[in-house]
Amino acid sequence: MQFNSYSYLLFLVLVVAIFWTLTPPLRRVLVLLVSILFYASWSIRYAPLPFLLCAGVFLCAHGIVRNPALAKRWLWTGVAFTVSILVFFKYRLFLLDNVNQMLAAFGRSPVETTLALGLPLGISFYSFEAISYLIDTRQGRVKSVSFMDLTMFVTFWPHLIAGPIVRVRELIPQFSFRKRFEMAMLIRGLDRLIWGLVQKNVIADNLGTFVNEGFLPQAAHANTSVDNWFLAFAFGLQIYFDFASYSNMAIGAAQLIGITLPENFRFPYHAANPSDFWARWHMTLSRWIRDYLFFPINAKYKAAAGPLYLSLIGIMALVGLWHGAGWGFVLWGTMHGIYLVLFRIWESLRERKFPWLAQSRIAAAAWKVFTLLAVMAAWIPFRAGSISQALTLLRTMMTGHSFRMSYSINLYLVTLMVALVAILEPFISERFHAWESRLVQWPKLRTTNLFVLRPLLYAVGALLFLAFDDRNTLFIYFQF
Amino acid sequence: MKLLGAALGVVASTLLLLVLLLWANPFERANDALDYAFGAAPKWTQVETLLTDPTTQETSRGEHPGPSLQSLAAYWGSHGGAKRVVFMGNSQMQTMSLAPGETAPGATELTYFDQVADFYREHSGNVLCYRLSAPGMSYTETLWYLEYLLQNAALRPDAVVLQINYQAFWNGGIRHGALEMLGTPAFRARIETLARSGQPYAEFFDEALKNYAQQRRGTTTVGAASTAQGPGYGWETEAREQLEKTGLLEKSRAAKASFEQMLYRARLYILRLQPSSARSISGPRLLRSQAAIEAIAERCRLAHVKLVLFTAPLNPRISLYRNAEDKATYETFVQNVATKYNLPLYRFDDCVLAEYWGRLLNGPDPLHLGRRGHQIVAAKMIEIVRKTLPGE
Repeated sequence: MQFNSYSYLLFLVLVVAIFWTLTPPLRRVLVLLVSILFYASWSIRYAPLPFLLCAGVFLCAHGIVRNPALAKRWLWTGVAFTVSILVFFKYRLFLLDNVNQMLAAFGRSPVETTLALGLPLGISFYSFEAISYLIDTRQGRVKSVSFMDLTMFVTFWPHLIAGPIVRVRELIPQFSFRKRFEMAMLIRGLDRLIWGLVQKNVIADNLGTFVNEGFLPQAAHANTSVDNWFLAFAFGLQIYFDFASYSNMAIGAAQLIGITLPENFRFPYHAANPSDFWARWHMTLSRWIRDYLFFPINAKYKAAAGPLYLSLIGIMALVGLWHGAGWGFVLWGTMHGIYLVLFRIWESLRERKFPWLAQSRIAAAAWKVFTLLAVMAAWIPFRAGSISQALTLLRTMMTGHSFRMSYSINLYLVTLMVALVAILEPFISERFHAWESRLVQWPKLRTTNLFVLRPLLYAVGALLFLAFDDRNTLFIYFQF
Repeated sequence: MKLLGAALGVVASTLLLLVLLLWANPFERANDALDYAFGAAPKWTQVETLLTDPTTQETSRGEHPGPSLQSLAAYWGSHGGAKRVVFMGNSQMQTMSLAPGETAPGATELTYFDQVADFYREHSGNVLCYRLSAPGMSYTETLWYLEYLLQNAALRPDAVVLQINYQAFWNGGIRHGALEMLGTPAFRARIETLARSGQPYAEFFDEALKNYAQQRRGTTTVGAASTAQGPGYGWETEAREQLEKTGLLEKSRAAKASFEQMLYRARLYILRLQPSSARSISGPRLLRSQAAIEAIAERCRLAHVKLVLFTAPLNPRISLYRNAEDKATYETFVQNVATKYNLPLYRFDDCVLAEYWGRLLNGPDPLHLGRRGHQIVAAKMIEIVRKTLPGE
């Protein structure tokens, strides 16, 4: 059941309705059962996997708490267990392909496998959540957690497939479900849910049609530089609206039962610099990387510039690999690592040599433009089918001299139109809330707003969602 | 309890307004308002009373061609010995946009193709004409259809009259409705061969094969293999079937068409970017179209099917070429193909005067002929068929 499918929306309505009629202990049972059902709706075969993972990390966390002397060993056992499940399901074929390429280079016959396994949905996300639980337990930030709580934490259906990547201490305290129903929960939930449906069906999927054609392998050699820049922007906007829509729908669904999930996006293409981009893009992944990888490594090397920069590039390459088992993702991550290093070098240079540039609008604007262009260019290897295709496209972007447009004028127009939506999104959101808060100051208009204006807005969103419904497109992040 | 009641009120109000919006289709109303504000031609100039005859036309306009072609096979099978001529092209063949001064549409209007088919039905009885056209039909799709016709003896044409149009060089891809044709094993095998050919159009065939396989398995286009196996897919199918019965999905499809039309009108009226705006051809789409036309010519040669090329009539008020280089690229290519494969090439570019062209919304129609325009082209086309099939 996709979040933008009719079956899921019906399922959600029923779950929310039943939820609010139950007592808190029964709500816990309902949420757990619903989460299991939701995951099994994708694949019964893989339904036991999150529970297996939970059982493994629960035992290890138990070991950490019960036996502090062996805590480090239990932690690494748990991490190794989780990572090996992830590697087995996600990176097995990638590793095998690379081994076979090396064997071929030495004239050896390839290793073959007859094991045909798909990628269990959400495995990258719930693996990271399991690891964060282990580390938080080891560091004393999390005390004892029951197996049921842990299972609910990992399998909680709104974030199970594609995040936001939550932490135990954010979610488990909310699983007491003692909150009473408030109208604000419904309004906030519907706001996010319906905007998410529009972002996915109307914006992301329509861009996807153009992007798919532009990234066909043979097109790489014939596309012009203007084609490739537009395709990079089109895909950058597609993946943003696609992933942000999923996060919005996840946050909205959770809000409908009184659960607050962390935000995942904050208008990333408005970023002031590469570092700011990662504070706005997939924020829950960024903080996971920051807290569990970057800070520990940084502490180990005591912030020496060389190792720090290398570790930053290495970590970002790993972030790329987390997204997908392919060298294109690694290149994407590496490019971001380089951008971050360049920005840090600039920052340290500016502080030492040009402190007056801190207030310079030109420098700020230059970084903003650079960040936008660099981020968009980095989407090329992320989306391209191979490294060679990515390099061909990037080369044309950087050195091409033809500005002819090879595709339907609609590709260029729709990309510009969606870019405008991305530019205006924060301002519209701000203006709308300011306008609404003024409106509800009058008691009579408060009722009109609640029962007419907001429903009208929701109905228009739902109309657009229905009009652009296409069951054949999944969320891009499902493949990660 | 009061709060829950209020919440139900919000949800009920939303659903009620949604149903109202679906039935009222506000996008259609917006289109009418835009047309009025920008002085578009009256709606009746876009003729909707054109002849529909499944024995001479693919009637789904490319959206669902399988059944049309099956019924054609049965019809042609019952007329053994007759010569078969297939006309292939884009919407110019199947649309009529009345020119200023032309009277309102009659009960049944005839396109130039219909007039050719009628002529041969009345005067020869031994020539069966069929129109295989669709709006925005690409040359990759034309090749696709040609392969389908050639793999079935009952559909095998004696001659193909192919419209060559600068605008069609922009198009690409195989529309979803045509994937059902891959259910024919011989055709699928042929498409698989073409998908491996390494030709620029091969990727579209490859994509079509993948989409067809996904349709058959009930899977989706992106993502993990595990999505294919769950019961959720069946639940969604059931939900959709139930919604389809309520008429809701039909209304939502109409809303989508109106919404897209609204964007199109905004492009035309506000940005002034018209389908007639001059454009260059380059890049992958040009290469695919050129390769597909060459493949059509080669396939016809090997199958001993007479292939006739004719360049589409052009509205003298409009130049589709951005510059002289575009025009030269296009014309040189067409001439070279005709020479290389020894094909008759008829130039219709200037055969219809400006006053016989229709209007598209608030501007001259770059593609669609008026009633008189169709008559002029029909007269020329009858001669072409006569030359192609001498003695018929």
